[in-house]
Amino acid sequence: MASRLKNLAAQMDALNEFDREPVHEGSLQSASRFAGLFAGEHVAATEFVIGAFFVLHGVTAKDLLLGLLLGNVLAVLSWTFVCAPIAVRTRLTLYWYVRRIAGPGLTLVYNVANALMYCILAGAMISVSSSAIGIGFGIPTPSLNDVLPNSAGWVVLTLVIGFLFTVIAVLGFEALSRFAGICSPWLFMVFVAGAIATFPSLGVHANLDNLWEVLETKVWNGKPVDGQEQFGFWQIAFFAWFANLAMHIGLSDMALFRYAKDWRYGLFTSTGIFPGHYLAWICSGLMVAAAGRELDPGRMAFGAAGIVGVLAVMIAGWTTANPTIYRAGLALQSVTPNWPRWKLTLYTGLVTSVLACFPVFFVRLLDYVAIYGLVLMPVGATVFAEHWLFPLLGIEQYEAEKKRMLFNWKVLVVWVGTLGACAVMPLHLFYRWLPGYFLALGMYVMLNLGRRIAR
Amino acid sequence: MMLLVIAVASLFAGVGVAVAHFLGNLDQSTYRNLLLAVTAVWFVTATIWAYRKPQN
Repeated sequence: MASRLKNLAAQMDALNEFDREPVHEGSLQSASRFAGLFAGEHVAATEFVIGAFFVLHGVTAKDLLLGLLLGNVLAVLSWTFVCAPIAVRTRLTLYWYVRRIAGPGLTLVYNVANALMYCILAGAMISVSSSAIGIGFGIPTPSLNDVLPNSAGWVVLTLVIGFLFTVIAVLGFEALSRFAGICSPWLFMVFVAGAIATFPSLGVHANLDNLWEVLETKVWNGKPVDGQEQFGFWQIAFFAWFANLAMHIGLSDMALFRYAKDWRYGLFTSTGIFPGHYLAWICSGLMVAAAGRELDPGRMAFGAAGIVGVLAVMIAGWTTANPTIYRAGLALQSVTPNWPRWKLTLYTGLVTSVLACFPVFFVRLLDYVAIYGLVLMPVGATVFAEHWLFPLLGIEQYEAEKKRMLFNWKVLVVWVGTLGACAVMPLHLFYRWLPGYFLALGMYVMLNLGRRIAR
Repeated sequence: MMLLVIAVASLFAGVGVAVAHFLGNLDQSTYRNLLLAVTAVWFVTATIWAYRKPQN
């Protein structure tokens, strides 16, 4: 078993070999490059769903605007003060840094967990696209309480779309990535135009004198729809903060920031976060309110922007599901020895397509986003503790690397223990990651206190 | 450079037609058709611009 795991870990290393070395000084990127890089991020298919959900959860207009402001500022600060400094100091990807800390075996487990999370997320994107294409075929989108598929038509449509997305991911990932870059500004325009076009049906006067009143009474009116829990300021703020938890607190974006000349480049994430996780969420909220407060991304986009809205939902799902399927395939490549990349992407895409048939991942997207970040967060906490706290406390760093450990059991205990504690915390799901993070930091430091070096 | 200018202008035009619809200057059908037209302009010009060969 141990030798099998060693082989798998060696294969994983081989896959990541190209970025094994720290980034060289000559490869560092300028501030403007970073600003541009992030500007195109965070306008995805999920934005059509997330902003709409805030309306359905009965948040008030004031809580939404202030909650999103606070949460997004905290997210940008998390990138700037947690993720970017470690990336700039190490110039490594998270993969190689976790490997030094957790050992190659546990890093493999982490990658597989990450891949499964990616599959579910890509499945939700495919579902969103299906809701748009389903309009043309008269196939109803599953309702908010559906767990299983609601019709054979939905299953067939989702499988066909998933299969097409997968084939495209197999055939031309690079070309599609480039095409996604072209789509991003246009998608943002559709969000804004669609939202403005809903004003007449919401009753906004041309001189905007009743805009705030309409927002408070017809859009974010503080009344959740049947079966949905009421959200307030803190749920919104925490959601905006943890929507990319795996990327900032979970440190996945070390892969990008290792190219930054300065850790303050983390602030450039605001160029993508505020258009995507502030303005686009507000726009999709307006669209769902105009569409009768019914979660159906395809129909609400059609109502706001006609055929262009449907195209936007479809393309947003497509361009965001594809890299996700590709990344999941990449992460799983180590556990499928000798499989070519195309074959693995194909199988990953097919599994993702099957998952997409189950509307639970799409209609419970907010909870899923919370769980996604929560699952990967403890590993980010152990990296933070090892990088910053160990030198401060005089604890020797990189035990796993120095002792050539396959598994650092302390990281495993922290990971499993933190998730166990989070599972039983008497708190709303959205809030659990924060005490969980400090718990993980504390546990990891306590477990390593015996390794303090005499000064 | 001209392609980029046209592409960016088409995005502003998309928002412009939505504003015109909101102000009552365009009916819904015309708004949707114009939005489709600016979408076509965006994809043609932005794609050509993005895939153009670098000039020495």
